[in-house]
Amino acid sequence: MSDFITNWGNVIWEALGQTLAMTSITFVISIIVGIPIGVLLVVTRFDGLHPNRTVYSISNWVINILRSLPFIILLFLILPVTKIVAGTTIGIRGVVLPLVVYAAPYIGRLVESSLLEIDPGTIEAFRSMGISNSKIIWRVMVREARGSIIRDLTIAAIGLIGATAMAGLVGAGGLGDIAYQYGFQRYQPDVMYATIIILIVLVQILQSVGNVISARLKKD
Amino acid sequence: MIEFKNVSKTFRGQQKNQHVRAVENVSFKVADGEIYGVMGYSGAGKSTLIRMINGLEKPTDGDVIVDGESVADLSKKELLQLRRKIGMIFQSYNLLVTATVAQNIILPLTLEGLDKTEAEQRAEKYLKIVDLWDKRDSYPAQLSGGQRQRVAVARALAHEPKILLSDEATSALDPETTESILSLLLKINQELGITIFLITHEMNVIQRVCDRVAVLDAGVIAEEGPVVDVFTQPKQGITRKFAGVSDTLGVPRDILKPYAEKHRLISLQFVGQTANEPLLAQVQDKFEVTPDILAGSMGYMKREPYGRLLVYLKADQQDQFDGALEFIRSQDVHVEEVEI
Repeated sequence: MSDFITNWGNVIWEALGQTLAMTSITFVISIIVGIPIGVLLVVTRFDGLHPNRTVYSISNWVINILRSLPFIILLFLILPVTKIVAGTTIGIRGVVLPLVVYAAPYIGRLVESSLLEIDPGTIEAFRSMGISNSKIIWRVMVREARGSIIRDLTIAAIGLIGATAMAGLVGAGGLGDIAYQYGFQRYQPDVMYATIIILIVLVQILQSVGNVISARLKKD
Repeated sequence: MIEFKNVSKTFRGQQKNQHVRAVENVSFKVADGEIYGVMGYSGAGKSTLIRMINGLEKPTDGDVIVDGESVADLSKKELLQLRRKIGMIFQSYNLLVTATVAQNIILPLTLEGLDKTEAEQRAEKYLKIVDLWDKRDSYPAQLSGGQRQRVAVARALAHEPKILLSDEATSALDPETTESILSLLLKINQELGITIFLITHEMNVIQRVCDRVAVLDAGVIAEEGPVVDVFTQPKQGITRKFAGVSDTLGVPRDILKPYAEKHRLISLQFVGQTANEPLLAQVQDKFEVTPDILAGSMGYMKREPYGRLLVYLKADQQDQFDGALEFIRSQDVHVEEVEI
């Protein structure tokens, strides 16, 4: 056991750091992009606060296209764009954009369904009180749905951890990369098992924290 | 204060045959400090009507005038200002489920730009008025339907509106809770001087609180006026249906047949305190007829008591009968002969 840690501790530790870095950076950006996408979908719906058929149809369509691409395909498909935006297509920098393009529409969809769960009567009540639409959206709807939005974000974060495993293909490192390189290509299963255990623990922690926060915010 | 001038509202469907005329050429006025009720079956256009007062719906034709201004002519900003003067409560309460009772009142106030301490003071004041101050830290899910509606009333009052709109506010409540909400509305109307406009399909709501009523049938006003007049002497079939009066007071006609064959049936209606004198005893003495009470009912219209009697009048001569009817009419009692 101590031999294993001396031999592999540093490698795994570094990989864990890379995974956490990739996940957290892209997670934050995906939230910033994804929640407004969800809001846009709900607001421009035919029964939303600002119905707009064109905006709704186009965003709906684009999101569906992005959501139908597996991450590994998306990663290579948008290489030219990544090059322009990030200046590089390799390393953690090179993987942030594809991960965001992967996760943001996903978050958008999840947030959309959470916002749609709000009783339309509640929104009407706030309209009847003379409160502006933008305040209704950000201070009432997002607030009322925050418990389920937290649950959405938990799901998205776990999805992101999964996607980062493929980031090794463009040299971004991470736990998935270690498991693949050492465990599969060099046939050292103990390294693979160790990374798997760490991944499982990571996901368990995330899900539990998400559940606790979500339950605290939901009162119905 | 609120005036509808030839208001119509059509909802446009995809095709022309899918157009729905929800409200058609409706006109009426609601005075300051009054409780005005609109009654109708579901689908009669009540919800559309009430939503045109605060601009949640726009009329297709005609004008809705609130406080001297046509709602349709207001700019976006002015419309928000107007809505702040008009509180609204709903059948399904429409509270924030993730906020406590107090937060439910404070949040909309702060969104309106009130500072936090003032919002908190108002929450305390109005929660005390609706008698729920001790529940301030509860969540709506922990309250009963009647308590939730009282929170909604406090939320509406906290904006200190001039008008309160009530959209079927008691329709989801049991009779006892309905009564507590209705007496709260009366209290608000009397003590705070707030004009109340309500829509309902429940006759007892109109009877209990309204000064005037409009009966809406398929988007058209069938009858309008003071509650006592409209419901003691309903002119339209739909009003009769709501008032729950068959002219036989619910007694099946085949039971009445044997009476009607020999003598006459009349129905009497008393409103207010006209029934102090023993009317039927006087009729018996004066005209030598024998009145027999077959059915009766008592009720209240807001504060006015009213009663109905179905009477079997044994008279040998036509002029005795006519005289008796004449005399009853002279006592301010509404009387009608009932044909079987």
